[in-house]
Amino acid sequence: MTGRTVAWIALAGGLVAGSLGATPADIAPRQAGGYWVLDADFHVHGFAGDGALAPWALRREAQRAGLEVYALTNHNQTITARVARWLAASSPGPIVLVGQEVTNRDYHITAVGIESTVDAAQPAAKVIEDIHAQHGIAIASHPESVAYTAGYDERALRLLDGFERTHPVLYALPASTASFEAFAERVTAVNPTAAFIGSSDYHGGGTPGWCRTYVLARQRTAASVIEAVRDGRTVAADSDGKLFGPPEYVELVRRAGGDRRPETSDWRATAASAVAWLGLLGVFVAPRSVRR
Amino acid sequence: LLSTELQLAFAPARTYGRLVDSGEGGRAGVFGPLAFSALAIGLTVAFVAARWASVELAATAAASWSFTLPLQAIAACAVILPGRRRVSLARAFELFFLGHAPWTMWMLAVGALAIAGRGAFGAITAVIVSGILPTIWTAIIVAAFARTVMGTGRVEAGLRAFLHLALIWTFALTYIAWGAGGWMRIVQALTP
Repeated sequence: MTGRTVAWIALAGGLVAGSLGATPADIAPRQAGGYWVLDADFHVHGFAGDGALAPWALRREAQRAGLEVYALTNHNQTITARVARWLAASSPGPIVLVGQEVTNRDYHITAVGIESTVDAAQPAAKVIEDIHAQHGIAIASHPESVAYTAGYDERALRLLDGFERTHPVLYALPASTASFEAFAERVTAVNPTAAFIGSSDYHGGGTPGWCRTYVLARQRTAASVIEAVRDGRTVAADSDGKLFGPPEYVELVRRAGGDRRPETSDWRATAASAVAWLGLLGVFVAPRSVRR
Repeated sequence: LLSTELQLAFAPARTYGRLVDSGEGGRAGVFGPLAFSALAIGLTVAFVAARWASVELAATAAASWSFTLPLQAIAACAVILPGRRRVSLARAFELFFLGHAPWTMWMLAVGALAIAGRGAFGAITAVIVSGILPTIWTAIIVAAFARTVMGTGRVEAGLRAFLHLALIWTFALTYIAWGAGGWMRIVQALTP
């Protein structure tokens, strides 16, 4: 047996072991105060776009992460999200919402529940009005620095349906933590019912739902999720499970069991991946049989 | 002791000369290196995006991102099609695609970092900056290919390598700009 054959066997074995260990999280629906408490992520990117995973693989990863709802929000396009929703319609799994990260030099706004692409080359308030005209919701994305908050005047802040209070970059730098806090104060000062949103901004790397939103919805439907965000019935969770939001809603989420993200990586998955990686390395390095 | 791809990476002119003279190649012709590249892409995307890989995840990731291979073939045409060749057209493409080692090593490194839980390749800047080394290395291999397989002079080989590099990065940056929401994101990422 040649070294190359051994490498192929390792590669195939690692992949098969990974396949056998890949089970979706078993997330039981839960309720509190007459609401469904849904695990949601309103800011996820997919392929084709700047996300790594195609819609079908992305939904499986979202399911492994225990998400019940997620919005696919690629930059300035909705084609990928509409394909994802169409693919998801005929199979069980998380609810897929069509979205767009409206990307402008002075702000990023996550539009969720829309049908067509929103023009990003306009002031933030006009973008939010366009989102509302499609019956969608507008969420201020990652207010980590002035580069992402400069575009909001007071009118835009009043029109927002929500703002990202937690995000993977929240604790990246002291300045970004301060910027998130300052922006939350700016929004809630003029818009007290704005929803607290936690998002992963998943592109590939990390996990969907790493930071997430607990949505207090009347029903387990897309329309009810949108309605809950519009009414501000949400709680944002950071990567450590710390909850942010109106005290009465935080209390409801705690009563339902609090933060409950499943473990998405374990030593078996890591070991299987390492074996597959070594197999790939071996196939690359080892000489192969040649024709002459 | 080493694969042809690695020999090409470390001694491109000498290895290309030997391959042209001997007619030595893989049994699958040009499809061999292309299939291996698709496999490496699928596994790397799976490792980076999910930190694990299954048959399904690797296959779907390979299917998704293999659109980059026809684009590379288009860029290869800029090197292979003009002028005369010392080998057949199919053989020229096969030899050209054997030069994938720098990017394969880049993918292996990214995959290893991701499995170890240290992947941070969501950032546009990280992707662009970390691609500099394999870009330069590949340009050296392409220039050696042009001189040895195509029989060009040193200056023309350099020009063809530069044209290939320009095409590849035009394709890459156009896709990144589209995916990230516009060219202004690229400018922002590269501006201090």
